[in-house]
This record gives sequence, structure tokens and C-alpha cells, in this order.
Amino acid sequence: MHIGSPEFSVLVGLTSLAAGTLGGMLGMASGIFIVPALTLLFGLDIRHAVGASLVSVIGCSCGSAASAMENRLTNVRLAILLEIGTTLGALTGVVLSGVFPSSSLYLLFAVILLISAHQMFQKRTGAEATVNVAVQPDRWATALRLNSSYPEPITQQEVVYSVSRVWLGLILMYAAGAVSSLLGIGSGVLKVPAMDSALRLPIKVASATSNFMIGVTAAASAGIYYVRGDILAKVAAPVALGSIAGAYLGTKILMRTSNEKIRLLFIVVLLGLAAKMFLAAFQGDGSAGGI
Amino acid sequence: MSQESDNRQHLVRMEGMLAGLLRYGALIASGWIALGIVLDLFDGPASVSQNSVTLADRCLSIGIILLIALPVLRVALTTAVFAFERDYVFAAISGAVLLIIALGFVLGVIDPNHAFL
Repeated sequence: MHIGSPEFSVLVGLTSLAAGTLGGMLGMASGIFIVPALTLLFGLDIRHAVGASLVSVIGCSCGSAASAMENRLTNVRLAILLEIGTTLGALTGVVLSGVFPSSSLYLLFAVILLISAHQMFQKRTGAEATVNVAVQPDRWATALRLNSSYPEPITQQEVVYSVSRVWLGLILMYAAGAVSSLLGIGSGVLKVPAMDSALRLPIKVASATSNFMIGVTAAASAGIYYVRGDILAKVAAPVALGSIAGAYLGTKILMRTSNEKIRLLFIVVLLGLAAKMFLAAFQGDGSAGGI
Repeated sequence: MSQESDNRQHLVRMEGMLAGLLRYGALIASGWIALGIVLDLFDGPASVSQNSVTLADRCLSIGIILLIALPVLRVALTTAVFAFERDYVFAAISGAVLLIIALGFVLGVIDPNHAFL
């Protein structure tokens, strides 16, 4: 089975469809599933897998960002402010990408996943408290009019929320952007917990706003990958098509499930991926070193 | 009070524009990619051995470039809308995002084979 054959396109397309659906439901990009699938299942070079993944990340972000925006879950002003952090981070990541060996990147990634899972789990127990207790109003959030409201999709009630600790959020977004382009993922997996804990956003707003920003972050690094010739059309095309369709399905499911179920699913996926990344880090020295 | 609802209306209208751009942009890009894949299936494995750029490859490239350009267009549109509404602080913020993306692309074009180091 070689790149560009009909069965390759169909299999890659179906894998991307599944990855996109999961990604859309969790408010994270599908790159996190696509890079392992392309390298482990289809035996692709990691650089080409990352290139294709970035295109799919953009596709996912466009599809689900549009749906979420029509449901008025996205905080556009906040997203644009935080994009300064993520795009600067993405450039830093591209500059640094030559320095780190891939096994140490996998290890770093596994650790970040575990921290995120831990944060999410802690938040689960205190979820009620954050809804009722008024959040400390941030001076910057008020000055830039970042505070907003959203209609809760299940009850149709308008929920007012304010944004706290904008500067901490910007710094965390810078780190998320760097990790995104270092590892070739959308890094919604970092952005959603960061917005959840630093900015104290409702999880659906965090998820929708993250999806909205992911496209811009990925485009900043995808442009460089394209110029370098690391985006193979025959791989990126089925991946993009499959993940756009999947992301659309995923966001439809997101609208119908409750916040708690999404959190639980998120924690399970984070732990599973962390285990996979640890394995990749320790196997990477021996088996993948030959490439 | 009317100022508040006025802002709200502006925001909702911009969200509608952005959602439309992303949705239809992604649809058009997917259309090109789907066309490329279909053409490729008709070409069959014969084209693989040749080194020439086929029509299918062109369609795929158009779709992929469009997809990469879409978020950049979105930022450009946001900048224009903020400037039009005289929200200069946010026009400057999203203009800065545009500049950062452009800087990265230029760096990639100047030095495509190295990691800038």
C-alpha cells in the first residue's frame, strides 16, 4: 500500500473522520490522534505526518468554529487577544524545533498531558463552586470589554461570565502555541484546561474559543511547513477531508451532552494519550531512530 | 444602555460574517480537495510513475493552500471589521496577529530548508 493509491486514500480518510469527530467533541484538534495514526498505522515519516496533521487541524477548527459561533459560544474578542500569544508561541516553536530530539518532545508532551488531566480532575470536584462564587473581575478584562455571556445550549438560559487573570492566560497561550508547533498538534488539549483554570471560563466557551484560535495558530506553522515541502498533497488531502466532516459531527454531539460528561471523556482521553506518549518516548530511541 | 445593546449587535453581526467565511471557505476548499481525489482515482496508478504535475495534483494544491489561507483571511476580516467600527485597540491587536503570521511565512520563504539556526 503506497501513498496515493485508492485504498490508502480511503483508509486515511476514514481514520481522519474518526479523529475529527473525537476532536470536535472535546474542543481539541484531531492532530493529536492523526500524528500517531499516520506514523504508527501507515508508516509515514513524522515530518509529513505533522504537515498533514496541521492542515487537518485547520480544517477541524474552521468546521467546528463556525458551528460554535452560530450557537454564540465563542468569545471572539478574547480569542483575538489570546492569538497574539499563540502565534508568537508558534513561531518560537518552529525556531526551536531543530534543537530538541523527538524522544524528549514525546516525554514533555506526556508530562503536559498528565498535568492537564490532573487539573481537569481537580476542577470536577469543585465545579459547583466556580459557577456560584463571583469571579474576581480583572482590570484588563474590564478595560478591553472581554466579559460576555452565552446561551446555555440545554436550558437556553443566558449565562453571564467574566474573564479573570488575562496576563496569565496570555503567557499560558504562548506556551501552548510553542508546544503546538513543536509537536505538530492543535494543542487545544492545553488551551482548554488553561482557559478553564486561569481565565475561569465556562468549559463550553473555553472549548469553542479554543477551536476558534487553533486554526490561526496552526496556519502560522502550516505556512512554513508548506514552503519547506513537508505537506504532501496525497496525504494531506484525505486527512483534511475526513477531519472536516468529523469535526462537524463532533460539534453536533457537543451541543447535546452535558458539561460533566465532556469533562469525564476529556480526562479519559488525556490519560490514554499520556500513556501512549510515554511509550513513544522510550521506544523512540531504539525503533524510530533508523528513519 | 443603548450603547451596550449596540455593541452586542455589532458583535453578533461580526460573528455571523466570520462563521460564514469559515463555513463556506472550508466547503470550497473541501470541494477542490474532493475533486482532486476523484480525478486522481480516475487517473489510476499510471500517473504515479510519471513525474509531471497532473490536473488532480493542481486541484489538491488549490484546496490545501485555500485551507491554510482561511484562518489568515479570518484575521484580516476581523481587523477590517474592528477598524470599520472604530474599535482601534482591537484593530491593532488583530493587525498584530496578522503581522506575526506574515513574519513567520517570510522567514520560511527566506530559509526554507533550515530551522533558522
